[in-house]
Amino acid sequence: MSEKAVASRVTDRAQYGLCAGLALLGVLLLVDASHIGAVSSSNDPVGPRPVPILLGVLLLIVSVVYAIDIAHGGQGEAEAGEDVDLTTPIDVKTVGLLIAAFLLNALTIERLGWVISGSLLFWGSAFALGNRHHVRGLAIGIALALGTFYLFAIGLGINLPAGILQGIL
Amino acid sequence: MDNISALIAGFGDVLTPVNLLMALLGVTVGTAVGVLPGIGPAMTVALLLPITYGMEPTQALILFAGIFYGGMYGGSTTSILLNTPGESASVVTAIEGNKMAKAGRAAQALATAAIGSFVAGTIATLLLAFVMPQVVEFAISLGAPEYLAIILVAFVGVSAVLGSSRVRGLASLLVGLTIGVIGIDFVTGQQRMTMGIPQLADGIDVVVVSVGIFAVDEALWVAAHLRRKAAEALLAASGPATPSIAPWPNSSGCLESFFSVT
Repeated sequence: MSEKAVASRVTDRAQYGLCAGLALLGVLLLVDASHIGAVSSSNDPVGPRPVPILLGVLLLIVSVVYAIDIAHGGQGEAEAGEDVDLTTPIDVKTVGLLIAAFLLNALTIERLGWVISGSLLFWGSAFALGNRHHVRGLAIGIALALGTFYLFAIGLGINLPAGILQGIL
Repeated sequence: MDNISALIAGFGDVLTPVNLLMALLGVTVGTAVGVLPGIGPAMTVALLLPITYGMEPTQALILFAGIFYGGMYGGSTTSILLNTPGESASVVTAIEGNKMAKAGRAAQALATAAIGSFVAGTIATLLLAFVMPQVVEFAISLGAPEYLAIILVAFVGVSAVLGSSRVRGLASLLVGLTIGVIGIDFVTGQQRMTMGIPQLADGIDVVVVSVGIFAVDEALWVAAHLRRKAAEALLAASGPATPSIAPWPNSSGCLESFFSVT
């Protein structure tokens, strides 16, 4: 067990990617801050520039410290949960399918409307998580999407996009 | 004494059946939402704000109070049964309550949390009503330097205490602050980190960030490590050593409260 833990510590190099992301964000902040005019007013003597510069510098420092921590075998604490089994490796297929379902919803919600894209989202998520009763999944998906559509419209006064079903719903 | 009689008259005005129903509705909804991990009482109130759109101010405030206390209690439920405190306020409940649940006394732990919340909430509200003038005096004496100091203490405390790794806490703190920088500076009107995208000029709404972090992220994380077999329930009370105080059998009480949450 402990050997395995040590091995996974050594091989978890994906964290360097996060480090690079942090450093990139820091550089981005500094570059952006250099474009901000050095304006200050009587009630805001600090102005809009120092905070992004401070954040950028801190991000660069933290990314370096983070990289040193990873080199020493540091690892984040994985979050446990009710349906989470941390002993299994990351299930790429399930995550990929779920991301695909989310993206499909984001791409189609304007054109097709929430009822269709939401049904696909619910059915797709259920499929990704292991549901194989397609008709039942789709029926529950449509019921949920229709229900939330009218709940938002009638209960909260928020009109979700109706898309191609405009005028029918 | 004027203030106290006004306070009591206020109770009289509020005590109508509709208002009490509002309180019940608020507590029910608040508990249901508060059970969700990551959504604390304040977040629950913020998310359910639109419900009160067409209500009178009195009823809206009563509903909010109900949602707030329900959310507080809902947080303790996950702490006790799942050992996952949804928010900082219920971490202490998880330390003690989850041990009780593992000993098969989840029902007692939940009841203690509810009664404890009620008693402490009543005392706190009473105190608030009586020391409010002094607190207000203190609060308006605080200026920008004091607020900055409080914010710094909060940020440093959160990133240093939460989680096991300080550098990761600091990293997430900085990413969050960077998200906060996006948008137009209120005083000078300068655009920061908008990359010329007009939609970013308004800044990024906290609801977008919280749904992105708590909902989407949680879904993907659970999907990545999905438990394919049934989880071990917290029904470890089969041993004869557990003393029973409640009138009902340990395991069934535990089971009921367990399923009422899931």
